[in-house]
Amino acid sequence: MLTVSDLSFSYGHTRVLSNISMHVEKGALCGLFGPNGSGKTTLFKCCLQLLRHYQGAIRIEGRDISQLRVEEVAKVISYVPQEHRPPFPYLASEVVLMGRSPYLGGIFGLSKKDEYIASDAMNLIGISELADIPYTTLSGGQRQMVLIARALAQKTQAIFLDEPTAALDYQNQHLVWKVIRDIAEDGMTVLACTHNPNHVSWYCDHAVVLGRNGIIGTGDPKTVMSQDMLNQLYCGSCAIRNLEGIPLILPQDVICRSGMVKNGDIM
Amino acid sequence: MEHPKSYKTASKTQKKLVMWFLFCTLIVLSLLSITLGTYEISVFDIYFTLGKHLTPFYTDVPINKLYETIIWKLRFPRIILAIVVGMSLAIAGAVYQSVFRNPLVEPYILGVSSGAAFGAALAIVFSGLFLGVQVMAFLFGGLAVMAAYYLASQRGETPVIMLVLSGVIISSLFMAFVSILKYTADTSALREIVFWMMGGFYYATWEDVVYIIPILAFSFAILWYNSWKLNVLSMGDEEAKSLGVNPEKTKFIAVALATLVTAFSVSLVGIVAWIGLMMPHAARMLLGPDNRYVIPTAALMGGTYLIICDTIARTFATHEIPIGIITSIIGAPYLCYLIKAKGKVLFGGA
Repeated sequence: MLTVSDLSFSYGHTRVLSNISMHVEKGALCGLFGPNGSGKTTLFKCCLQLLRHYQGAIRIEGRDISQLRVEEVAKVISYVPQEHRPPFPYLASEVVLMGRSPYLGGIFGLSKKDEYIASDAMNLIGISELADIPYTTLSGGQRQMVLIARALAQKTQAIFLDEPTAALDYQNQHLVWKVIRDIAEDGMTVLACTHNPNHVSWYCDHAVVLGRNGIIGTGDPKTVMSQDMLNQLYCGSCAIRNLEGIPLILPQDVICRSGMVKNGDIM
Repeated sequence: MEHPKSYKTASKTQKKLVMWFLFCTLIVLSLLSITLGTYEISVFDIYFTLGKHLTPFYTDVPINKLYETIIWKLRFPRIILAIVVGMSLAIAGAVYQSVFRNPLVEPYILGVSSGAAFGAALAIVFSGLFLGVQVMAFLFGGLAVMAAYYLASQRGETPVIMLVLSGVIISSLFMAFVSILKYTADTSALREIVFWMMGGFYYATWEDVVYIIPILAFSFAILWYNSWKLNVLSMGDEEAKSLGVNPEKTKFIAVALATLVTAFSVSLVGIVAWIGLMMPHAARMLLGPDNRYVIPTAALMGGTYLIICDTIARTFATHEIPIGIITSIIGAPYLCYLIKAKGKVLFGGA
């Protein structure tokens, strides 16, 4: 589905990405994980063609997307930015309808059909009752859901989410991840970047870990999210525990304080 | 997630009804405005004179030459010009606010008014040396915006913050030039510059109207056609791009046409403040922020507002009052009310 080969990118003289190669299968929920400054967002923006002057190739289903025009890219990949407050109080339904912009045509612009697709998208993730509320007055979690509905209305082959749960409370984080999970289950290819290692191991089918010097792990989260990798990223400040078969990544000092360390050794 | 109380929003039909109502208000007020003036003419004579020109009837009925001049050559073009300028500034304001992603922006932010003021001042001080006041105002208004846009663009992109900055720079530069001219001008030229900058419809002629109407119609059509893209653009450049809207192309078309109508308006009637800031707000309050409705609604309201202001300007005192004074005096309290009462919803603040 998505293939990145030998991608390099520099802002001026600062090299942010060098020789990144990765592959995401169709219908997979791929977690792009890495610390601040590892170039996650830059990689994202290159894939979305928001940054154009990169070296290497990005292909979707074999098509080099650097050849596509802005409208064409928007029919292939949709983008869910971090939730934000726009300057004008558009209704949630209007924000979702913006997802139909790549399909604008004719004098009348958006058609009845576009409105149906937009309201379907809201239905699908269960936020129809937000339709007539100004987007600016919604809570952070609700705004994130509206943006996800907008990406669905775009009817693309892949959805990219930029730290979808970064600004949300604990309950909403999991609500949003559940929705993302459902979308992937329906056959959509999803790439989500996140700071939270637990989210990768709990929800994703595939993990790509970016370190400061490029990719340091890619594959099944169960194997990628290892103690070794965590040590490399976090200098040994985190450890993995197992709770009824679910991996749990915990900060070392929390483990120490709660006495979970048995016989002084860290698992 | 908790659900905030549901808001009542106007349906499409209601929105269309509101727009028709505004359209009728505009027509009624224009017909009312033409009956008011310092020279008393009976209502019957006024509409008879108008009817003779606007309808195919009464062509062979003789007409009072004085009425003909006052109604057909003075008041009527003046009212039309007020409508057209009000519409132009209101549309330009709505467009600029979307492009700049800021509801407090007005069409003069990129320096069109200061550029035009300098052009006009040049033509006034060195009369006969250059082209006429209107042409010079238009040329320099356009030049100022082009300079600001060029200054703001880097590597094919024009970030909003750079546009605002370069607009401020260009504006203050041209205002400084105007000050130089004012400083060196003789008393009568100085007076003329000051009056020009306060705006007014004193010299409205059919010629002005004939120039500006096709330009407004053309710009309005293109901008209205792009109104959905302007909605998307107001979410930010990157988001617009990911939604398939080319931000640079849309921004350029929008700014170019909004500047065109603004420069034309300013060159014909001088600097009329507040319309471009207030009318898009008022339209948004009525029908929500969707530009597909904001642009035509703001246009209708801008036309209506300027007819009211201009009628006051020419009838309130024995001498004409510059229109800029009236639009500001009525406009400022309105905006104060807006900020106090609706600030939260309108400006998206929390």
